[in-house]
Amino acid sequence: MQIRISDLMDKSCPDAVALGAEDKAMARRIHDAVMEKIGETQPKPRRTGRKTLRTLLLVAVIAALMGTVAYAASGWFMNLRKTGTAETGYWREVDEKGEILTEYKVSFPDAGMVLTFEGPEERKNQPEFRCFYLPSEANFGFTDEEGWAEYLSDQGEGASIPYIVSAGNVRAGNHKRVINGEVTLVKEEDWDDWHVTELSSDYTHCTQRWTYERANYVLLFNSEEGWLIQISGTANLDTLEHIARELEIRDSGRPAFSGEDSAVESIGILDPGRG
Amino acid sequence: MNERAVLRRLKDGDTGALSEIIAFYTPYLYTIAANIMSPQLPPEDIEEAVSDTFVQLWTHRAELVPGKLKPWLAAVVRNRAKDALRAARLAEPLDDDLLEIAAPDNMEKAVLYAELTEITREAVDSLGEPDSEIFKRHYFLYQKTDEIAAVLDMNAATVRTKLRRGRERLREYFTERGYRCADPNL
Repeated sequence: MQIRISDLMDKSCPDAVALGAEDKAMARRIHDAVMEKIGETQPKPRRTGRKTLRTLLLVAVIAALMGTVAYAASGWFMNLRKTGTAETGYWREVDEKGEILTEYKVSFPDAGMVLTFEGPEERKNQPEFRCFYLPSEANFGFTDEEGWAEYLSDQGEGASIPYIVSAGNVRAGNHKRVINGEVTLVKEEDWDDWHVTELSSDYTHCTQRWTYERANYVLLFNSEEGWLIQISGTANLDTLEHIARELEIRDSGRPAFSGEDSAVESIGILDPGRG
Repeated sequence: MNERAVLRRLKDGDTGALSEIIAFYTPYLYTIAANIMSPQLPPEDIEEAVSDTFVQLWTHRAELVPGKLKPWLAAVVRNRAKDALRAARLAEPLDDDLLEIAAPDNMEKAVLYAELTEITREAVDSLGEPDSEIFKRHYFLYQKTDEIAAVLDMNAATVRTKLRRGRERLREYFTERGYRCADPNL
């Protein structure tokens, strides 16, 4: 019989040879085609917690009446308040007797949206994540040997900060988080335990100078755990959502920690920045 | 990519692991498929051969062994690409590089094929470097001789000479193992 030499080569793969240049668009098309064929058109973030999806209509009604957007389940509430004026707050630290150690006033003249949270003061453990899709290599942040991280970013350069992925616990009470610029609420939906809020902010009319003209945000809020995963940057929302959909998120086993822990009242920004 | 970890997750049904494999191996598999299918078939067909390979990975995920993922994927995409050419009644590349092997009549086809591919693997590995790599690049990855020459920084005529010697060695190997073998092109 006649047989092609190439047909005899099935066990002769040259293991060390690398081929092909990265083509993200093609890889995306192939990925989507595969997921469609296996019936997994919309991969969702994997969770380690219990699968519960709760919507409190009453909260939504109250929120609507107050002109705010809120999402809550059994644990924590997230309130989004659009604002067209400056947002002012305080940074306050007190000692054990409640006497003020540090206090200063902070104002953000270009505030577009303010996030606040309600819920237990005691926080659950710090969340951590693994990324199974990133549009470019992360050049800031730390991962353990299995790829788990609390913060990862491609810091980009100039007006580009492609993405930042950060995981943390929300703090109830007098702790405000501001997004500057003219903020548009693009989409809200639920992915199992996660409430997803997509925002886009235009910074062109800000009185303070920002390095970029627009930044986008995908916020994943887990009301049961009190976790907020922020995927933000100058990349478009499709890209940020793709990152979000391919996150694996879990309880790190470490107590919650943030730089604001010493403050009883704080105000800070969520806008992407380097470092 | 930690292949052992990603295969463990894949076996657990984690589509994120599949996404990770797709991101990592798409350029490699697309290039192999394109070497076989292009320019006879369009890029969409090549992408389909690659996506079908990953679907096959998903359906056979329970059978995979760590350390063998790359050759497994490469072997599958080669077959997918050749199937697409056959379905379109188009000629396969390297169609003329044949061996005439007198196989025992009583041997089951699958068993024969497994034995022939194993003998081929031993023969090609025995060539030493860079001859072994050249042979694999040409007959497994379907790279053209001038492309191999450019990558390995050698003359294309030298590559062709080494391929001819490799074919001779392969024929000798089969003969030494009891198969009557001839190169119909000689």
